[in-house]
Amino acid sequence: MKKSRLNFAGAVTAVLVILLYPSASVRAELRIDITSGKVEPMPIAIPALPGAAANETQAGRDIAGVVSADLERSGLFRLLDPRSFIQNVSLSDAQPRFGDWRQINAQALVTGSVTTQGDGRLRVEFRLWDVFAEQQLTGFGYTTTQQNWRRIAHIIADEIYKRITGEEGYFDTRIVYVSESGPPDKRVKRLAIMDQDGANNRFLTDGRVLVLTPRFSPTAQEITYLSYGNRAPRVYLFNIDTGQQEVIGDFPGMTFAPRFSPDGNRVILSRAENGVSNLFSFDLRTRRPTRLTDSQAIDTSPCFAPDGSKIVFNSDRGGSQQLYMMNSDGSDVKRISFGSGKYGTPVWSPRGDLIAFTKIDGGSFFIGVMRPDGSGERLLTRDFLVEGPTWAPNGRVLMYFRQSPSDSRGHGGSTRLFSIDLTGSNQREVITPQDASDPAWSPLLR
Amino acid sequence: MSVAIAEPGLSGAAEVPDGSPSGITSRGIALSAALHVVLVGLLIFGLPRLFDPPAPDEMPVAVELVTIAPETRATRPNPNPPRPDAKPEVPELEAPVAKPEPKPEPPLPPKPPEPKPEPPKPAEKIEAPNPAPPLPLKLPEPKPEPPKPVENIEPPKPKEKPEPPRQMAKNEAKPQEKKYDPGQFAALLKNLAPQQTAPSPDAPPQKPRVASAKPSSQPTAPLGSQLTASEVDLIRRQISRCWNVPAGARDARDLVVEIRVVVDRDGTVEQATIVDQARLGGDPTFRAAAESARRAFFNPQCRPLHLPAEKYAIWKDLVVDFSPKDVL
Repeated sequence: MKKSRLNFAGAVTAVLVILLYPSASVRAELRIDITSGKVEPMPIAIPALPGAAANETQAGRDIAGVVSADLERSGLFRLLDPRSFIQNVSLSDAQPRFGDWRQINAQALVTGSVTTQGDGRLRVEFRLWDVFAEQQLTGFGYTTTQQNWRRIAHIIADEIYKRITGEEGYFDTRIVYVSESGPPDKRVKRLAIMDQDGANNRFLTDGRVLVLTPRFSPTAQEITYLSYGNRAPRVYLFNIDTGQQEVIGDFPGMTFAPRFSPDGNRVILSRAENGVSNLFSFDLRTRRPTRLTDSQAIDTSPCFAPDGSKIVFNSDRGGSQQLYMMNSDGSDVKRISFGSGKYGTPVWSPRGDLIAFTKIDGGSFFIGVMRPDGSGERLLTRDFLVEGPTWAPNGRVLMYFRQSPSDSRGHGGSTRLFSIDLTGSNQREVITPQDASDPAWSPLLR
Repeated sequence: MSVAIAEPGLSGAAEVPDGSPSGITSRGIALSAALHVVLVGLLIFGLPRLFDPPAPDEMPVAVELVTIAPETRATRPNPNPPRPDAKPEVPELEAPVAKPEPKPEPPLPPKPPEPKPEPPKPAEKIEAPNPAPPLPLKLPEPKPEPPKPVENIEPPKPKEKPEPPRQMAKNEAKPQEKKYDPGQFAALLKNLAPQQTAPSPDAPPQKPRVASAKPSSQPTAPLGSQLTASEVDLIRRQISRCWNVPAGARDARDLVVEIRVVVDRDGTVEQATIVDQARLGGDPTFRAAAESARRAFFNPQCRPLHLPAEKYAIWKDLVVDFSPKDVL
């Protein structure tokens, strides 16, 4: 009896096991958490865009070159050497041979074409491929004049950047800055503007008067800056297209440190009077100023939050120069920086999540970032003199200027522009024809 | 280190009582002799420790085991719990039916076809400088086939890992033979359950997941083993090395991506599907993070995954959560 019962039980168990095993195994979900990874640039292959005629081939090569340079400079992509390419992409290829690209470890691939239309304009198409997944990630076509190829290249680079990182690009942008030349005692400073990659540099002012702190309007068509035009330094507006200049407001005394509001309708600035500086908002439509602070200290470098609700600025009202935050009407002022040293030139990220600043501590200058509440301070770079951070429109990259020390006779001391990734990596010099300071990054140009 | 620290303490203690200068010589000698004896003694006792190190390679694994232990510990109590759950039973019955269709897979294939994200609109704006309207490219309709396993990939970095290449034997059903506590297996699933419920709120369209979640057939899954903590750690490290973290993205720390993975018997990932398909469309940052996570499984360094062949039944379906919280 006992034995048979055992056998029966065993048989039942066996049946159960057989019946249930597959389902159990199918459902057996193993869950694994990955909480770390590597931070490496993504390998991407960008062959020259093929074309039929000579001018098309040339344009295709140029465009691929500019796109490559943009992406490489971002630090997030590693451009694969074209000599390693196995597949020679031609116009007739509908789809890449992914195996060939995997072979050289490309994770992303850009293909496309350049053709000339009946009206003589160029038709530029590109596609971005995920080599591993063998899928097209994005693709666009553009029609433009032959001369405009560089702009198209930046736009393509922005699309690729956006698709891979999920954030807006920043390549189709411009930089306005102060170009410097001449000896230290006779320094000539001119407003200059260039593409984000240093191309198309041109000067906006002739250098007869000193200019400082240019800032873009949200439309990227206007610049506000400080100029020592007649006697007193004043804040000016400059229209890039027309070249027209005008003084902002009829303030007594000196005005400086201007910056546009996010909607472009106002300029906030600092006004010095009787040894103190206070912040004012100037409405560009009504031409009327509004006082924001009324302190016996030096309040300056105001900057709006991207939503316009708050203003960050620096002040020595507490003894040393620190960062303060207030509502856009000047109410509810509170200090946000509490580290050692002095803080200045706060700039709110277009993304809203961080504030960049210059810090002077222990005889060195730093460019750093902190959250709007003052927490999470992180210093990105340190040098003899670094100053004037400005954000790329996607809030991912900072540009600033760096001055090297001059020797005892006042020689040297060159001033150059640099860019650095928000993560603190990928610091690079931005090449300018002459010395450069006070960079300001434009919004995306579209 | 400990020896060095001990010395000053001893000598200091010895000198204080001495007091008289005359005794210094004789007592000093005695003391120094004693000290040496102590030193020698320490060395002797220390030596075994020094010799132990040969094993340190394994040690770190052991340490990790401890930290992960909580998961495994829970295994025992479970043999009973499964039943109380009751829910599983219904699915269990269906299970055999389900056998032919590996549940999660079917829904997945259709998902991949997300490749048509071309909003030509931006192009239009761009076109502004030039009158001509931008034409969106017609995609050559990339077949939504799930990425095929890469075969000929030459890993850029030849396996840096001295991973013991697990024998991919034919021991498929082996788990059963390994008389592991059935409870252990149940525990694994039980552990998964809460995790699954957590992410589900954000991911409405998780049909596949729901399907798999209900049939929590833990009780009956006596088959064998679960992955040991060190095995899990091994695979975790391997995937980490293949994953390019979306550093610098806004709120990157909070970007948690869940990938459902179907693995071949040899450890090659057959399919990797982003679970939260709904969020893919509307959240480009998430999409970028999710795709970077999925890409990890097609990285040559992660083909194949280093998983114990004898436990294929356990890892053939993987759910991997990517979160850069330790990096950022």
